[in-house]
Order: sequence, then structure tokens, then C-alpha cells
Amino acid sequence: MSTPNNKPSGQDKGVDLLAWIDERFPLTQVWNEHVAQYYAPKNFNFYYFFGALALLVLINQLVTGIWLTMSYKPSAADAFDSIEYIMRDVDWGWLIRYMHSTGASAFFIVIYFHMFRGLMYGSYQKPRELVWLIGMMLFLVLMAEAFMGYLLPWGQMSYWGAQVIISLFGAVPFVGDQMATWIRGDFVISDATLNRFFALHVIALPLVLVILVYLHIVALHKVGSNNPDGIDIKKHKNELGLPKDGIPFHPYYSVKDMMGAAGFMFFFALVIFYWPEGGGFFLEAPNFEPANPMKTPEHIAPVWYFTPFYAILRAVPDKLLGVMAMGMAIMFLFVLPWLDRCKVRSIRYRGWQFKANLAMFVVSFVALGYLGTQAPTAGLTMLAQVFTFTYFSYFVLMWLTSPMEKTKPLPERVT
Amino acid sequence: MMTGFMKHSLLLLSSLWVLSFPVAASDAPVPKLDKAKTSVLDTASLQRGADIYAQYCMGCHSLKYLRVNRAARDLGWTAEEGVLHFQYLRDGKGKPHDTILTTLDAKTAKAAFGVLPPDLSLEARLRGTDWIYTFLRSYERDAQGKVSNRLFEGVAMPYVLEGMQKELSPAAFDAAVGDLVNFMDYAAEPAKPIRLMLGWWVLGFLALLFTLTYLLKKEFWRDIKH
Amino acid sequence: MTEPINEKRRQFLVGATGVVGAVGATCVAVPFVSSWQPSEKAQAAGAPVDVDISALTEGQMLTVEWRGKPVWVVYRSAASLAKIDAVSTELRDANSEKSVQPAFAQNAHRSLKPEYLVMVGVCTHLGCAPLYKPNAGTITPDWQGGFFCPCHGSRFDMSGRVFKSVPAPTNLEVPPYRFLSDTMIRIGEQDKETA
Repeated sequence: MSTPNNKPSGQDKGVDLLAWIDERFPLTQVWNEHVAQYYAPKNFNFYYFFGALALLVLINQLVTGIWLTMSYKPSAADAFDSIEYIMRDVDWGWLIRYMHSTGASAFFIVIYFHMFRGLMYGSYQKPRELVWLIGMMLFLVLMAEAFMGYLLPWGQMSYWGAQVIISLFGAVPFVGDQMATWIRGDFVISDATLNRFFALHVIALPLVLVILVYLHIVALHKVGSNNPDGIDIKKHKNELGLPKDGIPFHPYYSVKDMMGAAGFMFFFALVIFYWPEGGGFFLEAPNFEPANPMKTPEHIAPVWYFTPFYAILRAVPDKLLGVMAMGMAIMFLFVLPWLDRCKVRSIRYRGWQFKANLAMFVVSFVALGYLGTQAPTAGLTMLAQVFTFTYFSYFVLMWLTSPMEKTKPLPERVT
Repeated sequence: MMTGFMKHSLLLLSSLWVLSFPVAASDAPVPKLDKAKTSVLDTASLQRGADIYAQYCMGCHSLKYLRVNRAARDLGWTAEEGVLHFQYLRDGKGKPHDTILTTLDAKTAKAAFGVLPPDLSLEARLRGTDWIYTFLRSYERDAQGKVSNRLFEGVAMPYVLEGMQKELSPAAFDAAVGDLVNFMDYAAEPAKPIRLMLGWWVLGFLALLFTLTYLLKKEFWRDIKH
Repeated sequence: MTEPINEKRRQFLVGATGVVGAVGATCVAVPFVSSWQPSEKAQAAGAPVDVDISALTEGQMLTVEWRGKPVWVVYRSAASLAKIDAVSTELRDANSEKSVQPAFAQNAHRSLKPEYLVMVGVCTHLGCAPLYKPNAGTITPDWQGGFFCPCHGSRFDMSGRVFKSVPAPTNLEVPPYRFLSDTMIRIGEQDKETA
């Protein structure tokens, strides 16, 4: 590659190596297509940090998770002790564990903002339906991942939370009970359940998550990113055929996302070092007591990120219908691209119906989330029923009102 | 960076916050707990608390996750001193790396109290320091000599600190219980002191990193016309 | 572009962010790397072991377990100590320069007190346990007493020093230890001044 009498500089060597690789692997091509020459709209705002942050949190979870498995023992007899072993006896084990437990909550905070962004700017609309669908699959798998991970510390809340959720399958007609038993591998949550949840949590679901993230990005880069104006930047191209309102992802968004990452890490570290229990929401107090199949804690609440759906479940006074309502609450989100029949994407140019509807949806979601953490009383259950109704009305009203919304004229170029 | 809509949505979220509180107030009454003003960075308080624990609690309640040498190191004792402080019940047979166990056997305990005295390694995280602080100061003995606890009705644990409470002034007793609770807070999370001290460095570093990345972003984005 | 790019400033910021970021990445790596160190539990299991040598008579050896390995304590007679210097020309590392021992044991008798030899009983060749053969002539006709590894025939003198032309590369390892009293040895710990 280099002539013997001409000592190559370091840079030449690098170019040679890159050429050697490019002949065998499309490294430069991939870099250009997805990073250096991926043109993203220049008007991304605060909400557009959360996609990159989700990736950051995923990496955090993968790395700290791998390290935790090095000291964790997936057995009913040893699991609880092994968590304390990590917290006390392993060098820096406490930090790695807090990074993972805080990361779980951070993941959902980031994802909920990321999804809210999509709702606000119509990022699910044509042609980004598949981006949205893959994203929703990611959300589902993430919930399963979080649920199974929560059993692993084998504390009281781990145990009884899993008990309650798996019992939901008992609501399925005819085969429900057998199904719940099959999932547990025992008649109660036991060592067998813990072992299979461990296997799913540390390898199966993370693998699916990583593959789905890859597909999510591939689909996004095929159609290009939406933006807060919800208009197509490919309409106005310069003489080189590049979108006039687009800027290369690298360096502009890579440096911007670095800034976002640094800001995020500041708050992440703040929680890890000064608020690791997250007020009892990130690490629940009853989970500092080992699982005891003979004694249910007074009040069982799932981790905060599940409480909106849990509140819907409890709001319906019938077991099967409650489970179905909870499932529908997520399933409706899947079909959102086809429920929204408006041609305008962004909230900035949509009618009052859309704005009011979205506001009500956010209110319902947060209120249900709060209600799900509380012990049910007659008054609170009624409130949960009201918010369950308004939660679902979002989808119905979207379908009904979106065709007749009075929208504002769209700008030609991004603002 | 704050767009109009972002302000709008934040406003919306904060109004929700307000909305949810009157609902919370209608919940079942939560017993009012006194605030335990403790700090695991106060080593002298931890040492006093450890001695109170060894004297009054260790007879029945183990700290099975806490190693003596680890506690000694964090409390500013040598491992041998740690053994002396914690292991006197075990006739000097204790090793520095042992965890803090109790000599009370399960059978005797069952006979005496009806229940097994729980391990208290994680009590401060399970119940909270305020709860323990209030609980230990809620014992009373009525004219008939019957012992009860205002916070925990029908508690099996006897009035262990009665002697200490009689001996000390109310303020001194509160302070002693505070030291004990502080030690239990430490025992529930021995990494807490280092966590609290290290955090500032990490946050400082991240603030620096954020400043640099902010300047870097600003510098690059000068290319972009708006 | 309304204003020219200040390349110098840009390069400085890229460099500064890169350096600070690299420092941060290194700091993040520290906990992950350190977490592979023996934990408190492992250290507890590998804690120092106290050996009572009051019953040990001249020429005898006793074995204790320390960190999962056999550790020998040998009470060497004056006669066997006298032979130590005689074999030094036949040894590979007579001065223990390439072998593992606390500084206090880098001498001909390889111990704190000449008569008491404390040594890890693991052959430095492939980890077998050598045999204690104190009597002359038991291994070869000119055997002066020492340790013999049955696996691959490595031979060591009464100080655990390896002979030339055997497979073991270095002398047997001496662990850190100290005398708590005349009859009590603590293995796994040494006095600071002798370190």
C-alpha cells in the first residue's frame, strides 16, 4: 500500500486503511448516509433531544446490566442477598446498581417525552407510519423488559407486583389460569419464574430492543425526520439537490445532542447521588424487604411508569374488561396514524380541536399515572373512570374531528 | 430554546400538579412523623449511634448485611476497634470481616416475644428514618405499668430505651435516638457517605462538560442561517 | 454566512470538549474496572489466617489453607539450615531475585525467623503440590532435603529455592505473614516496617 522508500504519514495510512475497508464494507457510505450527509431539518427544538437520549439510556442500561449480572444470582434463595452484596461488598457496585435502577425510570421519562413529541408534531403521520409502529413495538418490549427486571431484586414489591400482573392473564376466558401458571412455571411466583424472567430480561428482550432500535432508525432515515413545523423539507432543494432547510446531522446535531446528553447526565447524576429512591417511585420502600409469599404489603403499586395503565385496569369494575381496557389503551396508540385524518401534522398549524384533545390526553395520562400510585377509594376510582374515559376519547375525537379541523396555512419553509 | 408550546405544555403540567393535590388530601390519615435530622457524614454521631445499637439493639436485632470491618472503616475505627465495639457479646470470637449478628437464638426469641426480632440492616430504607425516630420516642408506660407505643399499636418489642430515657433529659434522649437512627441509616446503605461526597465532583464535572458542549454547539451553529 | 468562521476557536472547543470528554469516559470506566476486584466477601474469605505453632517440633511441617491454597509452616532444624548455603551454586535463583516473596524473606533462609519457613505449597511450574522430603538421599542419592514436585520432577531446597535444570521457573512463593507472638503466626498480613 505504501512504497518502501516513501515513509507514509499517519494520515495517509488512515486513508489507506479506510480504502481497504471500504472495498470490503460500506463504512464511508454508511457514515455519510446516516451521519455526515444525513440531512435533518434545521429547526429541531428541545423535544428532539429525546431520541438520542433514549439511545444513551439504552446503552447505559446494557452496560450496567451486563455488569450487574456478574454479581447477581437469579435464584429465589440468593437474589435479594446478592443485590445487597452488590450494594455493599462489590467495589462500586452501588453506583452501577443505581445507574441501572435510575436508568429504568429515566428510560420511561425520556420515552414518554419522545412519544409526546410525536403526538404534538404529527410524526406518526404519512409517510412515517412504520417509524411510529416500530416505535410502539419498542415501547411494548420496553415495558416487558422493565416488568421482568423489576422482579429480579426479589423484594416484596417485586414479588407482589409480578403476582398481580401475571394474575391478569387469568382473566383470559377458558385458558387464563393455565396461561398464568405456564408463565410462572409454578403455582405461585417462584424460583422458576425468577429464572425465566432473568433469562428474558438479560438477553432475549435486550436483543429484541436493539434490533428494533436499528429498524426504527433505518425506517426514519428512509423517510427523513419530521420537524416542529411538520412540513416536508425536501420540497425546496438547492442546486446540489440538498434540502435548503436541512443541515447535515454531523456536526450540527451531533454537537447539539452532545450538549443534550451532558445536560441530561447532569440531572441523571443528581438523582443517582442525591435522590436514588426517587421519592419512593424509582426504588419502592417495600422492596427493601425480601419477598415473602405469605405476606402481602398493605398497598401494592406498580412502578410509576406503569401506573397510568394500572389505573385504567382498576377503573374498570370487571376483571376481563379491565385487562382488555388496559390492552386497548396501548393498542389504540398503534393505530394512531390511521385515526388522525388531518393532512396537517404539527400542532402549530392545527385547529383548536386537536390542541384541546391533546391537552386533555396529557392531563388524563398524568392524572391516571397519579391515581395508579394511590390506594383505591370510591372517590379516586370514580376519578380514574373519568380520566379513563377522557384517555380513550382522545382517539375517538381524533378520528371524528381531524377531517373537519380548521387548520392554519402551512409555511413554505421551516420557521 | 423554550418554544411557546413548551411553555404552554409546562404550564399545563403544573396546573395538573395543583389539580391532583386536593385529591391526595382526602386519603386515609397518615400518622405524623417527627423529622429525624441526621447526617451520615457526621462520623461522631455514627460512632455514638453504633455504640447505642451495640448496647441496646444488637442483643435481639442483627445487621446481617453489615460487615464490622466495613463499618469500622467508615466510622473512623480500626477493624480491631470495630470488633470491640460490636462483638463483645461473642466473647471475642468475632472476626473483623464478620457481619453483625445477634446471639439470640430463634427459639428463645419466639418464646419471649412471640415473633422473631427482624434483621434491621435495611430498616431505615424500608420504613424511613423519620419512622424509626418517631417509633423509638413513642413508647410510654401507664400507671398500671403497661407498655404501649403510640405509633405502632401492639408492638412486640419491649420498652428497651426506658432506662436511657429516664436517665437523660428529653433533648439529650432525642439526640441519642437521632444518633442511633443515623447509624441505622448508614447501616442500610454503607455507600451513602461516599455517595453524598462524590456527587458534588460528578455534578461539577458534568456542569463543566455541559458548558463546553454548549459553547461548542453554539460555535458550530453559527454556520446555520435562521 | 454572515460572519467568517473562527477556525481557531472552533478547534480549541473541539479539543477541549474531546479532552474533558475523554477524562469523563475514563472516570466512568473506573467503577466498572474496579468492580472486578475481589469483593469484601472474597476478601473476607481470603482474610488472614492465624496458625498456632506451639506444637510444631523440629523437622515437622504443618499445612493451613489461606485463600484456597495450602500454606506450609516448616520448623527447620539447625542441621538443615546449615545445608542451605551448600547447595546455592546448584540453584536457579539463589538470591530470590525473580521470585515472589515479601522483602523480609529475600534471603537464603527465605523467612522472618530463620528456623520457621512459611511458604505457599504450590509449584511454580504448573500448580501441583510439591512433597516435603526433609531426609537426605530420598529423591536422588545426593539429595540434601527439600521439596519435590511429583508431577514434573521439580526440586526445591529446604528454603523452597528451585534447582537448575528442572521445569519450575522460580522459587516457591512466600506469603506475607507476621508473628503475633512466639507461637502464633498470622498469614496474609505483614508488619508495615518489614514490607
